[in-house]
Amino acid sequence: MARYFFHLTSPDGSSKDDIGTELASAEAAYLAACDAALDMSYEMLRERRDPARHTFEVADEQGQVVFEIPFAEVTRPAERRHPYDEVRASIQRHQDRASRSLSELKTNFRRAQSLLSSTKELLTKV
Amino acid sequence: MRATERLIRKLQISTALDADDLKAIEHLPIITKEIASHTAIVREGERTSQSGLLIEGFACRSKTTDAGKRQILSIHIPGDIPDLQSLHLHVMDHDVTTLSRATVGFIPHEALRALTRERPTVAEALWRETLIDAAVFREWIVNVGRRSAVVRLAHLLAEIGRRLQTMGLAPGDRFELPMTQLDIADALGLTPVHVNRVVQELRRAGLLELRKQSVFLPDLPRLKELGDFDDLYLHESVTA
Repeated sequence: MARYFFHLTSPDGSSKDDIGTELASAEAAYLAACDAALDMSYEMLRERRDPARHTFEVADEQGQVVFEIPFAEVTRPAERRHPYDEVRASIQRHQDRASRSLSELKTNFRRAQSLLSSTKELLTKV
Repeated sequence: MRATERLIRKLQISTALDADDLKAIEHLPIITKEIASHTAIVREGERTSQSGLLIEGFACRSKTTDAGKRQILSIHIPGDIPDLQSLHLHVMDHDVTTLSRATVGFIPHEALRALTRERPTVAEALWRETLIDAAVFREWIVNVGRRSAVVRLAHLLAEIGRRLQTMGLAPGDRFELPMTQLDIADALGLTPVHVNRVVQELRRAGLLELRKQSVFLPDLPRLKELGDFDDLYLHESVTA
């Protein structure tokens, strides 16, 4: 677990998060920010405030901004795919790549093993 | 603190008990267990033959949607019996989980049933407890369904402070709240990061000081006003 800070910026100024939220990974922080941006957008709309002018700046424990999430991006319908889907797709791509590498590694290992055993066989015949 | 003292204190908030009632409650056979934080006391779908009296620590009742989203339905403090309904409804329809390390006194249903047959006033008191429970749920439906985020949190803090104060466990404006951001989010129907923002909003308004899990409410009257909090639904006076 790591602590991430969700600073809120808007044309009227910015509001620093000095409490932070414990999250498992940067991906989890990204999803938490999207969830909250959506949640907070409803509230702002009810109060006749424009959520589209707000952005989350998400910082890690070192104070480094890891990514920015404009509320407009989260609330925008259609066209653009939902950011969740993008994160999920990216995780899926990594997993696919890892499992492909693993299966390639296994195939190569098996090939090497069979090569070794045929070499051994040839050696006994010499 | 003996288990039965907690229970008696709790029941006496809303019911006048006589010496024989107290003696009968004191004779309840109670098995005390220490339970770790964020651990189930009883789960949805379970059949139990006992009810758990919270002696130390906090617990909550919750349900989880198919999509894995949890809604906390109520917060429980020492003196509460969150699964008292299992005495008469045999299958649990929600989870009861500890929010902190907790001491729970398990009372066999057999003994509770015998007690309520023998002492009608105690039966009334327990019935009243479940009615007050329902009143709290009604208030929470309004809170989650109709109030803004900052009002929801103000209401929750005012309620917990008030209940702890009535039980003599803390002054209403200064208490330990062993809930994570996620727990609070699940109780208010918000996301953890949104709760984090709302905490900072209350703090800027001079209504909340939060250090780790220590809550201080510097201006309780103003917090109650903001939180739309009226303690009527807690029914904290003796009903004849």
